[in-house]
Amino acid sequence: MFVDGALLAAILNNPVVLFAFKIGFILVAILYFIFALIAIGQIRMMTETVTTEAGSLLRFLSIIHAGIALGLIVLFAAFF
Amino acid sequence: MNFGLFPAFFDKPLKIRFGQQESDEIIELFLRKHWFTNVGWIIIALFLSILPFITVITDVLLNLGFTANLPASISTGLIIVWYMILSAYVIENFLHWYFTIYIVTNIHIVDVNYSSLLSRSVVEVKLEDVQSQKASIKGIFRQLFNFGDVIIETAAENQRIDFIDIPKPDLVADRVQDLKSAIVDGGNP
Repeated sequence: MFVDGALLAAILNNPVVLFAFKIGFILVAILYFIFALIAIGQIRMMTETVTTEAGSLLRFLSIIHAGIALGLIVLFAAFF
Repeated sequence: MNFGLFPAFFDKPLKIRFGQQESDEIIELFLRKHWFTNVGWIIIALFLSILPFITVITDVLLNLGFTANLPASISTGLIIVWYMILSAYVIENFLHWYFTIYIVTNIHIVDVNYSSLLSRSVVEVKLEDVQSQKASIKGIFRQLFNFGDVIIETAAENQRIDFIDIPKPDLVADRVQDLKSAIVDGGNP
């Protein structure tokens, strides 16, 4: 065995470590939400530039995607 | 060979329009990169999507004891973060393919480039300014799936439009030549 299981479990179950992970997860989720918002803007701009066969579907999906990204922030904040 | 999930070749599409399109302007060809150009990032995404499972299996088989000692909240969070990053990678690649568009109309050639999430460029030249067009298909996969580049040289200042990895490049080059001839001759294409 390469990892001391008891030591690893003790470290990872430390409240400070758990809190650090939680903050890290929330930060990543916030960045992902920003990415989702940028994607919405970019898709809107591109579908105004070129009206394509699935432009409206992409717009709809991008909004759903941003909603899921927002939900992930709530998930990490509330349940982790 | 057609691949319906990634449509890349539209001949005289009726439902597609672009911003600077003139009232009497008709889209003759609407092109994207060939679907085969997506294979690389799709394979990478598929591999990355199963990587967490491979990691867990490796951990169990080699008895490393890492995942067993990981608290459920951390392991779940790590998996969610992993798939968030993966989905961002997939979305960015798909949008890059979807919005990199080449349009040939009866008046213009339009090159819409989606460089990244924060930048795009639109280059438009008149067909009458086209001086030459050259189709090239290089490589085994390009020969196999019939896709390649069309290089369009124009008389406009520093304007050269490259249609990269488009399906049926020979047909596209011929069509550009026909449309240009029609304009020069004053007839209809």
